[in-house]
Amino acid sequence: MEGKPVCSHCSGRAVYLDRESGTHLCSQHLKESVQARVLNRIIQEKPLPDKFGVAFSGGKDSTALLAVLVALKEKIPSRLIALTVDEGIGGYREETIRHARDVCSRLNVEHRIITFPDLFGLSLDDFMKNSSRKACTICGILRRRALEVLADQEGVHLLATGHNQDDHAQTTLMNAFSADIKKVFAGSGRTSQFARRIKPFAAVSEREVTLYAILSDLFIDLPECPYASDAFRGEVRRLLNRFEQEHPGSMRNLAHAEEEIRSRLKGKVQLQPLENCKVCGWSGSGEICQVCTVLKEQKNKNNSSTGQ
Amino acid sequence: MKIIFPDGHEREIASRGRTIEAIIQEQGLNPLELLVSRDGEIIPEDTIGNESDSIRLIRISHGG
Repeated sequence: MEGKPVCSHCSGRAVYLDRESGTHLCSQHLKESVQARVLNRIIQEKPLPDKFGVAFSGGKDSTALLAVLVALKEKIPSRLIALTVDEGIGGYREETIRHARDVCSRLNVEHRIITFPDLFGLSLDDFMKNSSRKACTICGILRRRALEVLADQEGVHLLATGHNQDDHAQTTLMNAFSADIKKVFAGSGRTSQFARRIKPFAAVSEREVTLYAILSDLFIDLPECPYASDAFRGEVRRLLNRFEQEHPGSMRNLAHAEEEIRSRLKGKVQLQPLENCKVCGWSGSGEICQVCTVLKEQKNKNNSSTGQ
Repeated sequence: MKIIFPDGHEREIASRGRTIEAIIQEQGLNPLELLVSRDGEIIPEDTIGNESDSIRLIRISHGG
């Protein structure tokens, strides 16, 4: 193996070491392995709708997801559409949006973009002026709504996100730390109003996802969001990566554990029923939804700064 | 061998017949958080390094 490990399946030049099994994969077999796991996830969603939406930020995960779905188009009969939210983050989002447009054009995928200013009247940068709230909290609330609105506008009932196995394992551990079982079931389809969400990369590691984007010639080292500061997730990520290095397979087991819990407790955990927001009518928890709460805070802030 | 780190800085490191993984770990980095490219081609981290190699480390996750 002097300097050049070879694929365990075909003796081609290896690009990847599966640390759990100790096997090597070449570019083609790595891609096929990722595609098989994604297809396995997707075919569980029956029936597949005519139109299949992908939440497409333009980052590496959603870029790789789009590339995999395009490669699988003969096995997935649905028409693909990429849905992008432009939050309005100066010095960062322009480049990722440009990359998103370029990827869709190269992959010949229909692409729709919705912007915060179009939907809420302000960009995330505007929201953050003099705000005491964390940017990621506000962005998360507004971006989720923007994606729901865009999916609704485009008639998308099934929406795939680029969350990978590492994200999944991190979230599982974070939920365990907070001991909040409700979080395990959050977003697991309590209403027919929203597009159903699936995570086709839930059994694919972040390394494999990144590698897939690189091997598809679609990876570019994009700038980091200037608001990114989820220190707790970062800590959990480092901890899990260290653990995975010493105990290969831990990440996969942890990601799988939450799915097991969800599947075994399905229907046994009583979730609070959704209500229609009294301001906008959208489904949410509580009389006033989180989006309207954020918008109201913003309005109050503007009024106090203009002395109204 | 020449190692180009994700932040762009470069360092000459003696490979001494070790794997790239061992060299990365020696630098205090977790090989699971990186991909390795040699002369523009992705290679697995258990590849044995040569003194003449130019190795680029690609960071796979951001933030936090």
